[in-house]
Amino acid sequence: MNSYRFLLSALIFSQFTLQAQDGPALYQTYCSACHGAKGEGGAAGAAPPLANSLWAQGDPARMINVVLNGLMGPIEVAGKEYNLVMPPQGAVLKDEQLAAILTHIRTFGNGGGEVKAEQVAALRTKYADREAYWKTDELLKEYPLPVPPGAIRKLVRKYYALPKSQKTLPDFSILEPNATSRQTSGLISLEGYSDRDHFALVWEGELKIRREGQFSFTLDSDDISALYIDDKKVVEVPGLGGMGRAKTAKATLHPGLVKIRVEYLEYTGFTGMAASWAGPGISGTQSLSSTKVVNKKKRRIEPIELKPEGSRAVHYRNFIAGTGNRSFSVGYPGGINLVFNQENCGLELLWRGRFFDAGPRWNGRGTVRSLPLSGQVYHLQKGSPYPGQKFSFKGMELDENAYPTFHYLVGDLTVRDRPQPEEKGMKRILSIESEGDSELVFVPLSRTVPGLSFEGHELTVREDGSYLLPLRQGANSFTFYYGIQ
Amino acid sequence: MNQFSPLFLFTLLLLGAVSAWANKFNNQPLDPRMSKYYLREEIPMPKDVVFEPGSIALLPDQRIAVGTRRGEVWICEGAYGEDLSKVTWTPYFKGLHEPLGMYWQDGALYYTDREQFGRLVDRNGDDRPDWVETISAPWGLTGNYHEYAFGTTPDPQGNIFVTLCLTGSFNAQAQWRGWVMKIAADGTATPYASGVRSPGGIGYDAEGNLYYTDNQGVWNGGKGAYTRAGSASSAVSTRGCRAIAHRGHSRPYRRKIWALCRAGVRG
Repeated sequence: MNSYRFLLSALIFSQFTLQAQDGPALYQTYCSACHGAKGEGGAAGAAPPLANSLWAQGDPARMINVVLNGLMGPIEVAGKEYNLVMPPQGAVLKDEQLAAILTHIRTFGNGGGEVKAEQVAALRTKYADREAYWKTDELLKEYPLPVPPGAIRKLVRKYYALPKSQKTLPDFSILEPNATSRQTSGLISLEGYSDRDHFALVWEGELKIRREGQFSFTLDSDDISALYIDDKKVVEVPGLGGMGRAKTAKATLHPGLVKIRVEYLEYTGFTGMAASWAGPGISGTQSLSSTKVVNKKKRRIEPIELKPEGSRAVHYRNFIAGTGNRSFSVGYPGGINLVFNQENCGLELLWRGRFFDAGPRWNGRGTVRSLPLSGQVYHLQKGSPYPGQKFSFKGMELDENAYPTFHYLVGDLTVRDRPQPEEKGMKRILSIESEGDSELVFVPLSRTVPGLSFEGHELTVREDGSYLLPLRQGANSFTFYYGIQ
Repeated sequence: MNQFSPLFLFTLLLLGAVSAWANKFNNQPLDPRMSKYYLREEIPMPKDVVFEPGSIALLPDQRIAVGTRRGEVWICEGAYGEDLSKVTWTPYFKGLHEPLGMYWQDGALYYTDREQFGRLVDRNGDDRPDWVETISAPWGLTGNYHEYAFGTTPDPQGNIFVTLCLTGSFNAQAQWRGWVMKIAADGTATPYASGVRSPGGIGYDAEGNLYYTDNQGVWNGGKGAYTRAGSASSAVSTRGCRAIAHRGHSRPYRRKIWALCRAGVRG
């Protein structure tokens, strides 16, 4: 019993400490597991950072609401998309506690400033009847993100109407702009022109370089664009086409002011223009345009290739593409592999090649089904291998090399299903215990598979591709052979 | 009680190792208050193995089986010894699907993983299982990463209880997601309680009450509900949550369920 008293006292102790209005400690308890000890984000990149986040800056009402009533994604933070549910904590956290946590979060490069318990209380009352999580759009409509001052100083935009034949950036030095305007936002924007065709825009301004070093510039446009620093072309998006063709290039820059010039051509249809930069003295990636560059690159996940060890087969139990949700995969020495689907007692996938990369399942969050790593994968079953019969999977026997023999019941019959890899393919031996004389319909291959030769030893295949297995009382054995080219 | 104590102690030890790792990660010193309350010793883990333990079972002869997220089972020897540098780890089996709940009984290692309640049996005595048995697999799966299954040790009648996480955050897109299933020793499964979201653990207290913890509140306000092992009808929280599950609603009833769950927890 002592152990339990022990545990109880620990629980009481922890309850006690959590009631203190200690922002950092409360943050540690309620937030840091997902958002990181210093708000750097966490959960393997799934939870957004709170540090240097526009979401945590400006009017605290936005954050108070998120914590009180929860938020459903997707949301964008610092140019990255996140799609997790932020669970509501309003029932757990008192006004003072919530205020203390948010005050602490505002010290993570979010401009500081105390969040008061009264502010929390007011919003708690205002949304007392709220039963749904906030949706991103709904929240930002009510509580928009603060607008950061644009990076480009003295920004001027020039507009050029172009002939319909113009499909490349023109030589602007011989053209007169049809309109010129100052852009006080400091951001490249198509505002006022986004529904036009056959035109060009040129933006010119200055960027302040605080520290020497390499800067990267990213550009994306519909259609063509090019970015110049001090009259030297750094990066371009050539050719007519839509957004999503972002290009990045680097330039070494020295402290002081540099000239930035962005040229843009729209042919017809949709328009779009996005630019960003990153480098010394800039926190993360800073957008140079009102539309943000969408980074389509995915996080690289370290692969974990599974291979047989010596004479032993390798096993993998996970969600595999092209088969049921309860399956057992075996990679045999010699490079033949199979997936046995426990849900229909069928030998479902067969291939020669590399086995599996478990990386996306084990190093990632596990949102994609595993695919065989290489080779032509043969799908053997389409329906049930024992049509019209009830079956249940019982288990598997493993020999000294970890080769499995699958055991299952078909009706009243006990079946042992033993795949045995051979040089040119997979032998499959069915051993069936029968209490009397009968027969069993078996479909070892539900359709013709190109590249796979198949025979049932001493048995005749019927017109529909099935085999009629004649059973005598006692032990019966049938051999099939899948030849893999 | 005696049978629980070593497990309790070992859990502490292992938690210690994990929290040491977490603290290294966060670059913060351990809270010195811990040593005041807990005996804490770090058991050396196998080198170059990503362990991510999710299950622990105590075996005869002071051996301990640990299941990992990658579906491996390792056997630890020497964890009870004076000199922990002599601890050895041996791979026992590879090929479960995220086991979250294991126990040893009558010469077999029983496990609950995403796909089934089953057992590993070493019939030829070579210290590796040669029979991997599926005892029961009554729940549905869509392949969604969120559909975990946590299993208990057996109650006095030989039943285990399995909590089944939802498909994603809010929905059950396969059979029995969001439920607790009772599975008898012969594999017969009975739906036992509903309303769980993403339970992170399930276990008994000394009097046989069954508790689970939930990681976020959708139906039950984020607190573990209790239900009495062996008598589903006595659990107030169970009835309340089940009504919600059937209607397919979640949020609008959260407060009511919270109240019901609180009423269900005995003072």
